[in-house]
Amino acid sequence: MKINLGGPEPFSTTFFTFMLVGIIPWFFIQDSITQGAKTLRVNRQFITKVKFPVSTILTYTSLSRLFVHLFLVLIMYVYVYFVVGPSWYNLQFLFYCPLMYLFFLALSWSTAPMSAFSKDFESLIVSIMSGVFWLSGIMYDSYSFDGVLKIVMLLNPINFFVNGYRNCFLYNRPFFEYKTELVIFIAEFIAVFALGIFNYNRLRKRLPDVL
Amino acid sequence: MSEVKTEPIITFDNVSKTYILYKNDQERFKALFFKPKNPKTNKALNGVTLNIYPGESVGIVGDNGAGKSTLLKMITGVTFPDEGSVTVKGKVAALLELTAGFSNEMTGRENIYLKGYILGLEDSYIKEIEERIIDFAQLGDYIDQPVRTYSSGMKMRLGFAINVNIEPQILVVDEALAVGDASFKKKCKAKINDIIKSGTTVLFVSHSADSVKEICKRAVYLKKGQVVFDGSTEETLKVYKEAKAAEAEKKKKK
Repeated sequence: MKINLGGPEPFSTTFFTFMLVGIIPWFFIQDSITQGAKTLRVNRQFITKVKFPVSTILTYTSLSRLFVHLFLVLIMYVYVYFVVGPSWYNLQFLFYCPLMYLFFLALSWSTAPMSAFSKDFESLIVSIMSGVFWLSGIMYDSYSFDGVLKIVMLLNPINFFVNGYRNCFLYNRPFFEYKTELVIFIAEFIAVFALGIFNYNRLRKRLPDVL
Repeated sequence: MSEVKTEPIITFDNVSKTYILYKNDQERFKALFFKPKNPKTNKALNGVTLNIYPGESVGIVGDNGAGKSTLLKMITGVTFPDEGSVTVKGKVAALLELTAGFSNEMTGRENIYLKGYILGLEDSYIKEIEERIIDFAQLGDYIDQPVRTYSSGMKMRLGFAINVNIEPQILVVDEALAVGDASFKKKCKAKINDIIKSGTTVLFVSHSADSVKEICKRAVYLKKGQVVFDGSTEETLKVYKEAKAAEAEKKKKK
């Protein structure tokens, strides 16, 4: 499999390696989105029956998913170490991973209270995930498109992380090299964060009445 | 003045709360973004102002739908008023949702700690009261078994044991509490009486005039979300009785 990174020669690797490094973050992201949305409903007794700091529910459930993810990354890294070889660029993992954790935590600040209100919304999120999988550049190289598809790839934050992990472990590429992608992501991050804070604060007090 | 004027331990300041009843899930979802037009509402609390002082034992009487549960939920901090403010100064133990906050996979002992943490207690403090709780609950060896193996009665006994032994400043008791066999019920009543004598503020919710008379010196009569009467137990119960009689008359005339 050859991926064009804008250098003199395309980067070459097996499809399996290419896919593996991309799908590991997807496992975390998918669980983070779907379970993150469900988590308030699943833990409803802490909201409707006792006095409990509800925001911590979102945080500790996310942390337990992160823990599993780190374990998977370790296994993947063993593979990468022997097949592709280590590199200083691997340390970018310490940039992408916390960012990914924070981004999807902030996303759950919006989706979880909204799913608590409406079960249909929760089902909606779960049902679009398989579509989102195919729009996230995991099974193919998202850098190879043009036109509308390219814009969709750039706007997809999941794609940012999938390619980010590939930057770390395969391509030996610094995260700031593809500037457009990075700038779009930062804007999305700020938007998701702000929306998360707004939605959570707005809906928190109504949660015990509605669950 | 025969008494020193102390600060109230629970303050309700013109509190109102309205529950909106949505027709279906779609309406609820739309309500996330747009204000619903003329929705069906239920005004559970309507301008309630109430002061409860430390050490008082207050009964709360009223029919179903009067707003008693909503009032208690605000005191325990589970729900929030739409208007006005609620101030509670102290740890509240509620003998309401006895089995809430239990993790089914953890053992009874571990759940004691879990519940303790949820109530904001320190590790060292929970260790102190752990033995007392285990003794009170009478679960024997089951205390070290996962809670999912418990019968519902056992769960309630554990929940009850935890809530009465944490030495709260405020204790909320829902009279509809029928836990365990006769001897356990007796133990529970005795423990509640001990707590009252020790100067804990107690809120007692009931339909039954007799139980309220037994335990409370002061009573509040709640009707359709408003405090209709607030005074000594005897007077309040009189007002309650008369109101019920008047309603029964009205129904007959209809």
